[in-house]
Amino acid sequence: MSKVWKVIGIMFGIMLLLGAVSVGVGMITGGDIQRIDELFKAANADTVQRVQDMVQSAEEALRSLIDSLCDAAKH
Amino acid sequence: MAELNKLLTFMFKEDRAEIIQHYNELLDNAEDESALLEEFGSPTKLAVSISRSYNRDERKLAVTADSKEDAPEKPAAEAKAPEKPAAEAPKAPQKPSEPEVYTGTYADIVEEFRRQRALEEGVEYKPIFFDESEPTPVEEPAPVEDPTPVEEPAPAEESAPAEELESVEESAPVEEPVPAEESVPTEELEPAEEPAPAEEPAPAEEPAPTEEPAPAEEPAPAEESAPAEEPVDGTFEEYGLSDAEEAAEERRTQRKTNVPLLILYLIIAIPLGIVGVALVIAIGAVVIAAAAAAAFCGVKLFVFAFSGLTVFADIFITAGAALVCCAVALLLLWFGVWGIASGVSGVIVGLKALGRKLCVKEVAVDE
Repeated sequence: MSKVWKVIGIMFGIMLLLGAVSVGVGMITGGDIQRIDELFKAANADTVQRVQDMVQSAEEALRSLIDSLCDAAKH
Repeated sequence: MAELNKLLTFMFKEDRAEIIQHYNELLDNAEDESALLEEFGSPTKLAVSISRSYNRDERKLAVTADSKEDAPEKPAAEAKAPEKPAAEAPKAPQKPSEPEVYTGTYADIVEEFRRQRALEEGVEYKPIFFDESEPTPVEEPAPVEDPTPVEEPAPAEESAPAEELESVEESAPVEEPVPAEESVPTEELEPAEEPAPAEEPAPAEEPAPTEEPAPAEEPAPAEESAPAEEPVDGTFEEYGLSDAEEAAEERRTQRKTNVPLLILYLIIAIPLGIVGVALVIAIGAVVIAAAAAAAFCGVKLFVFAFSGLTVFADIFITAGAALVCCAVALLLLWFGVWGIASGVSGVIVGLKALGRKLCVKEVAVDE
């Protein structure tokens, strides 16, 4: 088990390092996060909408669960 | 004797034949064979006592000396016959256990007495039953083996070996003073084979007849002998004392289960266990779901970076973000799997341990 943790940790570290280096290089070379965000939303509007709906429904479900537990506790 | 012969197959042929012959001679010379056989005890007991003192490895070295020593030792054996034969049994196997390489039991006794004498006097011990060149290296292990040979000469045997020792000492001038002194304590020890304190004054006096005395003997000889012997006792204990002690410990305590309490515990623990396992699985599922979401985001960002963007810098930023998302997804995924596996096993093992701790008690059993 410790060996697996070691391998996962190494892979996580390498990917994190590469991602951080890539983001740093992109920022240095003139990249713009706002431009990327606008393009991403435009290209994946349906996906973004779906994700927003999912998050909203999850919040509602969690709220109703908490309310039902409170009602059960009161009774 | 036939049964004993079958039980002693672990020994070399020469040793086994010699021991059987020795016991046959004892029986032939004994006035009351039935009493002698009673002293011997069962063949199994005799074989166990012989096996404890028999060192097969050392015995190999004694093969060359056997042929030389058999003749003088046999008369000594006959002299010992009237003595306690049961004590002699351990002596026979003792030969190989002695650090020196000598063949007969009586040679072992002689060497043991001489060794003890040398330790008491603080002189260098030189065995007489093998080459002078060997004794030096052999003597070093001697202390280790001392407890074994010390045990071998049972107190009962000591009186006999003492006598034989004296006869043997005549042929070995060095041994004469040693056996003379040791024979006295051995005789004293004979009446009290089992008590360890009796043996302590005479290291060679260890009671051999019973297994219990053997463990007592071991500490006694160890105390008396040089510190080098102490490790021997520990080693010797591994042979005999530990077995007796372990058995005694097992007899002393016994696990007892409280059945009503166990049933009550099961009634409570099973539902709790199910709830615990369900909770662990739920948490693990949430973590795995988060990992899946992170992986999905990473894949989406990768696809968008190389298909939806034209600016090189933006591609780098998006690809970097995708890599970070994938790394987080990998970590969360493994964390979720490991959490479920270890959590479920931990809950089950924990409940089992708690149940054993609450419902099973170790009760002392009077022997």
